[in-house]
Amino acid sequence: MKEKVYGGGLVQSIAAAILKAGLVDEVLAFVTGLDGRDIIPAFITSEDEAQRITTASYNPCSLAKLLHKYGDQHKKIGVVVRSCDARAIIELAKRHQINLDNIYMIGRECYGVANINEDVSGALHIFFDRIEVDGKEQKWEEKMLRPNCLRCEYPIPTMADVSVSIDNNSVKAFTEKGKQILAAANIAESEGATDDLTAVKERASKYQERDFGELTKMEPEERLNYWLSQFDKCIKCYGCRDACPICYCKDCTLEPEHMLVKGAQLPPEKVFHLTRLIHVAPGCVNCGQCEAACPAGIPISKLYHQLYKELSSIFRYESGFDVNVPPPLDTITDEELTLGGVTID
Amino acid sequence: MLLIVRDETVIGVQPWARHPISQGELCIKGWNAHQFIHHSDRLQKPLIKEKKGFKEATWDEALQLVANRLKQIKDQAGPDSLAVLSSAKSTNEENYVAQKFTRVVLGTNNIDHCARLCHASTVAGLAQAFGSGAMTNSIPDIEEANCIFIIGSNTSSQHPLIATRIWAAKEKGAKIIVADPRKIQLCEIADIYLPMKSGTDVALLNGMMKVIIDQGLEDKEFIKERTEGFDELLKTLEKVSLAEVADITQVPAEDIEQAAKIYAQAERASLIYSMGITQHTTGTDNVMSTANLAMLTGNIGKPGTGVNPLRGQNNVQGACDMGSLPNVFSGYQAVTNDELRAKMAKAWGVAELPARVGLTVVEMINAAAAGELKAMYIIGENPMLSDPDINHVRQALENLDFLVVQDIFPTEVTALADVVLPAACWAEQDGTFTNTDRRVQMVRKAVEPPGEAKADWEIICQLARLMGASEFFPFTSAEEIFAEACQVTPLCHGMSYKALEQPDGLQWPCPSEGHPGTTILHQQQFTRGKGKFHPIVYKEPAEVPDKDYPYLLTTGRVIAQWHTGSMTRRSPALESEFPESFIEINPEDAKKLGIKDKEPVKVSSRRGEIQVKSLVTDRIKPGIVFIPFHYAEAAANVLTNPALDPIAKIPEFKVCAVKIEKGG
Amino acid sequence: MMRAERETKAGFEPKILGFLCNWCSYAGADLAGVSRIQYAPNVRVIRTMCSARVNPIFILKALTSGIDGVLVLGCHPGECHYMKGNYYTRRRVTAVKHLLKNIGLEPERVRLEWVSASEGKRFADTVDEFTKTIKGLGPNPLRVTK
Repeated sequence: MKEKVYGGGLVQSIAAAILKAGLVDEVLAFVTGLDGRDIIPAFITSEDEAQRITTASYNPCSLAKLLHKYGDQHKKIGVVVRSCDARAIIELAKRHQINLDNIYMIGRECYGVANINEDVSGALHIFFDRIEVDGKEQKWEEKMLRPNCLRCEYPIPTMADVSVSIDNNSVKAFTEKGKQILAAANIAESEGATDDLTAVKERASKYQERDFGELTKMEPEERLNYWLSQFDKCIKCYGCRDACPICYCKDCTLEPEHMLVKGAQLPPEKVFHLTRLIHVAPGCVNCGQCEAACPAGIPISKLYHQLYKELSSIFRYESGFDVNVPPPLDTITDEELTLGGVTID
Repeated sequence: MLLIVRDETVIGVQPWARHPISQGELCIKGWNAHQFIHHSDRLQKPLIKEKKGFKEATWDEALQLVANRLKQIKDQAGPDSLAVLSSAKSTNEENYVAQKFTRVVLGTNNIDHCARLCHASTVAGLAQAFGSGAMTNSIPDIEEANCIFIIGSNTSSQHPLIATRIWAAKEKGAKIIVADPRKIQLCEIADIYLPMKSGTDVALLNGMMKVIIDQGLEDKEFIKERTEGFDELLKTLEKVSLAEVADITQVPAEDIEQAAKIYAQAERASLIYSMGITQHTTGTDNVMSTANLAMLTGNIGKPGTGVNPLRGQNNVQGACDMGSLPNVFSGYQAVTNDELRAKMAKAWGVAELPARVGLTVVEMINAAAAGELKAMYIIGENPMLSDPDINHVRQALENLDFLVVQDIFPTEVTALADVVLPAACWAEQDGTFTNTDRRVQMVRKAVEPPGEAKADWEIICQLARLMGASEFFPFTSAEEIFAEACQVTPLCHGMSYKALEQPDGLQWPCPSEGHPGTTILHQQQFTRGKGKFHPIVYKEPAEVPDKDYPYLLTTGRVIAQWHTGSMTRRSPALESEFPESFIEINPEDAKKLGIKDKEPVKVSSRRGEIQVKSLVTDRIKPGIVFIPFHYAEAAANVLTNPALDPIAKIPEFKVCAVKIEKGG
Repeated sequence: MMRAERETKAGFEPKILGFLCNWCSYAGADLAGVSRIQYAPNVRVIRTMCSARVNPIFILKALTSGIDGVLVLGCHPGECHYMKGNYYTRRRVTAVKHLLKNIGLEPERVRLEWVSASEGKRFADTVDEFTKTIKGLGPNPLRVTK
């Protein structure tokens, strides 16, 4: 088995290479900040800076969101992405918010990221079945991971241009651009990355059943009271919206001037939450950034992911894989044109 | 937080996940903290007032004028005719040079800042009870409490990221007690809500303590080993009757009893308070009563316990720590203490320093009105909206011979100034801030200040040099100032920029180099040795409702605006959420007055009147009304009472008497 | 704490909002009117040009404002004046109903039906039946909650 590499591995060399080769003008990635737990996003423009890229298992914000909000539309930009970032970028591309032609996605495998306040001193890497801090192995513990990561079925960003393995040592190309990237980096594709995903899917299933099961088990009245009391904590910081990569609108329906949700009122009317839910859930990629950004600790990601899974099954749609598949509420299939009833499911 | 900068412009804010307090979460002000930075109203050039209005000037012109006038007035009327208002928004370094300037160059202790208006009673009260006037615990350990008692703090609106810890503690099973005259958002998760009448805190706290003693729930060992003065407290509490307390506070006796038992029986109980406790003529008494309660039950010195005043301004703690106060140098070293004063003089290289305690904020205004104070140098503060009794403030400031105001935006007080100096804001300079849990943190420059604006410390140093004090103000960087401040301040003696280059910052006391800082105070012993109980008797507020002014007005804030709104009202996302003032009126009162929701209402007090839109809600008790103070067009402080707490000199923003009429 | 108590009092008159598409269902309602067909008076009608104009947010706003039921009526599949609008409507109403179920509100408070311009009686029957359903469900639990 190849040696694990943290810094100075493939993600870093690929990022440096595509900058050098002029394939991209900038690379958006996380770099180390003041200490091992301090991961901050940066638009990198030099090969030296690219060596500061970190693959530690923290995801403080959605790079897809930053790419959309702050990326220069006229530049070619490389992005180091987890599968949730890559899927979000594809969803944004579907909505004409990002021009995929200009984006080079350097994918990296991910088996989950840690909660931000996890008191770990040292570089943290989370693998499927174990955790490493500064290279020292530790037992995998459910409580170290963000809840949405436990439900995640897609550790490998197959929708990116390339994907680097979890040990930062081998890489696969998925697109023509991907092959270009590997050529520029002078790296050969290799097998040997984690391909057997059954265990991951099983685990995801288990946690989805557990998390969503907690909700479906409740009687409707209990469930309603549960969500109402969660929403009663809301301070309308708009953090969920500002953190969510799928929320791209510059003119947001939730703001007071649209007269849907009154201003000057806390907690905000419940239609605030339900509006965001119906807008986002069809495209939700389960990145969990909404929940991470919420000061009130409302389990938003669970609610959105739950609805997404149901709609995904009914409309036979998966968000973030194929840029040519339109969002489900803006499309119909030929098959549906033959259905006469009022329901689809 | 992280700032996103493109082309020399801050275009956005990202939460900083590694930050120990905010942990990647922000409130609505945080997410939009950048919106005012590049606003076109930013002051860019020094201004000198002439007959026809303000004229732009060069720094040399403006500062020379200021230097000349200040020197002139000092020579004519003496150093105590000058006063400085420093800024709780400025960095530690800037506050340090402001108070050094006041003492060394102007020769007076007339320096104060807006802590006077918010937590002066905390500083005074906890200093007397514990020996240290600051939050005893740290924000993260609030999560470990089994019981959290929140009194006089609308935490989810005013300190949302501290409310985060309260919500987290609740998830872990903590019991939550809320005491507030308004049904604040935290009441949603409260196990007990005590809808107390404003200004009855001592009664409530004494009532709770009486219950605890009657039921034998006090921590006898803690009292014996760690405190003094318990017998005096006991004598006072003997005269307290729960029935009377229930009557005074308008809270049912059984609820007071239940709350007291829950607090006392919890293994770790944390007490959190803010303006509802401090902004009273009995503010110091209120604070000491909270200290009494915590000591009575042994809730000091452990995680999840403590007396936790929540300070609001980004650097109000630092402004106090750095000595922008009329009675202490940095580190709370009393100016009246001959030894300490001599030591500071020696450290600064001056022969002597002024020994007389200076004027506090409201006293400065009164002295200006009386003609005793002739000149003021106001830095980053807008007393024309934030002080009580605004009409009096205007008179007072207009009566000054000379007024210099240094700020980032034109405000109601820059309009009255003779000279206006443009300052840099938080994103435009390096320095340190200290938050409410005593945590000193770095703030780093992201962009250049607009036009010719400079950092406050640069302006003060330049002014000092023009007034002949170059040798005492040789600083060429904020870091140099911090180094000197740490040298003369035992509290942060061990700090340096290098030591602060880590995300957790350093919590004082940090007495020596390499010291990791102090998360929890008073662990083995109190700063003063033993904690002191103070026997407190309930006193009514200075001005209570009567037949002419039958309603009790309490003032406060909203989540999206900050204080006098100079920054937040220029931030579109924030202004659109809370664009106008309002008066919260209970439906019973509204009916009596014939007032419907969202109608114009005239509110008057003995000091003035304003017109404001009604908000009829049962969130507020009958007999009490609430107006936020952010809005110049309906300035709540036109109405408020400048009556002061005798020790802390903090005004009674939370209680005054008003009358309400329909229309206007 | 402030939590709703369900008032399932007998004799409660539901407030129902009806979105009717201009070309089919609104005409059908008109026909019911001129034919003097009696039906429950609880529906307040909002006419939209097509049922696809019904943004899911309208339904959510209605329900969170305390409306007891929302009826969305469109043309029969294949008969939409704008060719395919009603198919979009069908997807959107489906999504909204799943959202409601997940939140704990009864998805039965939202109903989609196809009513053509000539179906006056069908319109009346639909209204009657839906009103009965809502009466059975009781007042919107969000009505009494702050």
